Amino acid sequence: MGRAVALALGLLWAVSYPLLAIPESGSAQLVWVFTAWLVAIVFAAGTGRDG
Amino acid sequence: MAEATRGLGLVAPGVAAAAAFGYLLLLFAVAFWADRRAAQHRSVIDRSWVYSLSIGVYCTAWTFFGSVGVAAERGLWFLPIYLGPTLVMLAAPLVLVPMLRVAKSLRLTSLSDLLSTRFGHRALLGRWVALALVVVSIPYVALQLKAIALAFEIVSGGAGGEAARTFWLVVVLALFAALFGTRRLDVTERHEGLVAAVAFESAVKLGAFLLLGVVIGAVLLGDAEGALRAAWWEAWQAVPKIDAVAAMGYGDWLALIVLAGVAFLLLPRQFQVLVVENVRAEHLTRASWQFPLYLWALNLFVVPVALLGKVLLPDGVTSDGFVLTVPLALHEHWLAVVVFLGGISAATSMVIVESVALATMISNDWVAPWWLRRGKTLAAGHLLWVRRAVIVAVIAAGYLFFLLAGESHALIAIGLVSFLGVAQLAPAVVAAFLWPGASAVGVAAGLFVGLVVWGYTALLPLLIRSGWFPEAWLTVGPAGIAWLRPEALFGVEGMAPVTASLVWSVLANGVVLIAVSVLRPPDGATRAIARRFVADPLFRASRKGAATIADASVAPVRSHWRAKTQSSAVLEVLARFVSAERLIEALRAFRAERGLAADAPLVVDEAFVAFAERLLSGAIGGVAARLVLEGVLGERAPAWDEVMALVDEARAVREANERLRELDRMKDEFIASVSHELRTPLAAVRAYAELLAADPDIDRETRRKFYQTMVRESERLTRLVNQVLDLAKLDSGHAEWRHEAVDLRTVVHEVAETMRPVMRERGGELGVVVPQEEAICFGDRDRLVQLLLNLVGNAVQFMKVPHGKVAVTLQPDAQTWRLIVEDNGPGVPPEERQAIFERFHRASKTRAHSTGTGLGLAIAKRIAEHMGGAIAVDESPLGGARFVVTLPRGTVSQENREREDEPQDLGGG
Repeated sequence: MGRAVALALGLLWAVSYPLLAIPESGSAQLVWVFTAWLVAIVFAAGTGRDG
Repeated sequence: MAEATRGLGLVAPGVAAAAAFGYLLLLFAVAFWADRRAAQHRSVIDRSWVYSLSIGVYCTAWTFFGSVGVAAERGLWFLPIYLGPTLVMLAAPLVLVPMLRVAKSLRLTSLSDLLSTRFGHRALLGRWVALALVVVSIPYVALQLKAIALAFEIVSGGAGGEAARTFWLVVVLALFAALFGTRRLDVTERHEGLVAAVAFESAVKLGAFLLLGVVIGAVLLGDAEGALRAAWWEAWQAVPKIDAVAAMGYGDWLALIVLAGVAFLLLPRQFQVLVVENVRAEHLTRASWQFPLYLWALNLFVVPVALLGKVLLPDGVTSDGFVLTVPLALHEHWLAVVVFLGGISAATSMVIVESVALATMISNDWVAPWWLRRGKTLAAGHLLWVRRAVIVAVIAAGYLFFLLAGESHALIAIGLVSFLGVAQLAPAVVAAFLWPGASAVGVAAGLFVGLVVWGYTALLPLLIRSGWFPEAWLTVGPAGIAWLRPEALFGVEGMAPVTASLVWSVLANGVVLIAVSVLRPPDGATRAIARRFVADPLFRASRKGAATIADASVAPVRSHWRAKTQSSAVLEVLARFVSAERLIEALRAFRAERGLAADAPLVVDEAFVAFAERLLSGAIGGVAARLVLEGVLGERAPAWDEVMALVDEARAVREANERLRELDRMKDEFIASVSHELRTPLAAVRAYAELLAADPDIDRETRRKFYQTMVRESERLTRLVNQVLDLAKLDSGHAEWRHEAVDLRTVVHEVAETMRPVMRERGGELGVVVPQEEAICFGDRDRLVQLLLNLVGNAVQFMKVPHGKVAVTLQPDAQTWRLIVEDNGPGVPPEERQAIFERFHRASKTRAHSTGTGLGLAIAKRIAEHMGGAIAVDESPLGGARFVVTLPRGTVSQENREREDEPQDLGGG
């Protein structure tokens, strides 16, 4: 359970305040969000089989 | 908008209608096929990916069409709606597994069932929750129907007849939902066909969007002149940042993510697919990443499509329709039809599942209890027809709402407002799983206040914008009172309206829930039920917990209550609502759990009533199940949870009392033993001191002997006190233990060196045998020395005098080290070989001359056991006692070796 919660909180963090530090444009923010999202999914798939 | 799309290539209205109705026919075929497979025990939905796809019912037409519209207008702001559910799914073990576990064990059929059961089987609470969800959901259903009409209008260029086509499509939808959503009365038996169809629809949605993405990718890459690609790239560079959108900031971004997560968890259709239709708990574990992946893929091409729409289509074409107008503008008619079907899928799956979920709630929380309270008999057939009628009524209400308010601003913006409404259940659900002190009246009061604030801050602004109330209410406030402005309540500004509404409504809801629950705390029965929700789900919902979710077992406890009714009467009622196959299977499991023979008569006690209630709950809901059972029993059946709580409490109190009595007895024994042991040397010291004081003429030699005895007895006293303290420390767990690699050979040598002078003094010989290779064991070296000293000291004390022999041997075993201490003394009789390790064990007469404290072996035993070993005594070949200590073998790493205190010349390699 701890890993799952950490993963969710990690994604929440990744799609919130780090975005402030992306100065270029909305498209750069978009790429960041989609990447963080996919990374979280991959981690969840790696650890999710046993919860 | 039809005007704006006139220049585009269009699909003939007949083709669009044929595609839509043909698609619905395909849905019927999928559902029939899945139901047939289920009948053959070859379930289609018993697969995690089907479960994950069925959760995709979350993505409605509002998001299918609307996401591209939002992306075109406001950049990234379409994403929170998907990030929220992603977070909830990733954290499924924390939030969803407990809900699933409780719902499965209590056979709960809906969120209203869950809340009414949790807060003391309060029918009224369930009824109001159901009503609130219906009120919030019907405009949302209407929104889907509007999306269908709009999609017809866009693909056929507003050629007319959209209203008729939408109407017939709604009729077919109602037919489908009524047919496949009520195949069985027992909701917990799952709707295989319905779920398979919904999963199929999710696959169509995803496939359509991905296809659209691939085609526009090909178009952009294949753009020979490069003008389109350049324009698209320019638009890509200009996507607005999150905080560049007017009146929206990062706080709103986070608030939307939270709101979407909460709504995802609490929307009626989501509870239906996530919990009620779940076949196995493991599916949820897999879905925790499969569904987020689905959402990710579904959104991958949202921005590319939106940007292409912006550069390709003339101004005036609504961005909400870009998914259809872009392929039309590219003259890819087939693609427009596929995407159109994707949109139809999104709308129809939502309408179907939502109507089934709402129908279950209305029939279980409103109709069945009302019917039963009027003294009417309820039969499965009645309820099935009630449920079908409610499904049709819900869809009809949605259609009516669409006709009445189809063009108003309210309908377009109802999606988020619905989310906000559903979020009002969040404090109740959080309290249900986290706070045993929450009461039904507190939850109801919080829900009421939350909904009032939601109505004022979220619904009212929509109605104002639709022209139903004066616009001035938004700008200067009702009656000119500025702090009453719905979107800037109490003069607080700076938050987006949706954030402000979320904060104010949920805050008010939560505060009232807590305050009223404190003032009107829950009764005993509610607290008893709370245990099933609060006690273990959140904190013990581990992977094992998730994997073992099953129907709750009925623990075989001694019965306290018997009904006068025969079990056959209860079974007769059960048979009216539960299929024969299911009833037989459930009865078999019940008998097995209770240890009853297959033909043993069933007694109507609390356990049987609880079993019957749970079985009935799956069919007609908790409230009606209780009413039906009370009807057949002719009296109020004790609530199972109440009984279980009393039994649990009584058992816990009894066990605690027994433990206390045992501890008290042990304490008395210990004090008696210590007092006895202290008294003996003290008496000796006192006697000799008195002799010396009384007779000053005692000769020098006798006086010296007296003093020696007094010193010896004082030393014994000191040793005894030290060992009592040491043992107390070991028993209390406060002793400090080091964990290090110890070469047992060094321990043996050290103890041998210490004991040799004593051996010599008593005329005995001490033999030591240790292996050549290092003998590593992990533990506390000082304690190991203490253990061996106690054993060798014990052997020295009991060996023959003269010609005493003590041997210490260290032997390797497969997994352990054997440390053997033997002597040629009188040995330990077999009947005392266990007791000898107890504190102050009184030795038999053969060892009665002992001058020990009676604690040495007890301490040795505790040390050995703490290090994962054991100690035993038997007969030695030398003729006396043989103590064998087994200790786990360890292998020492270089690092550990370096940390060892002992010199390294003892070990090899």
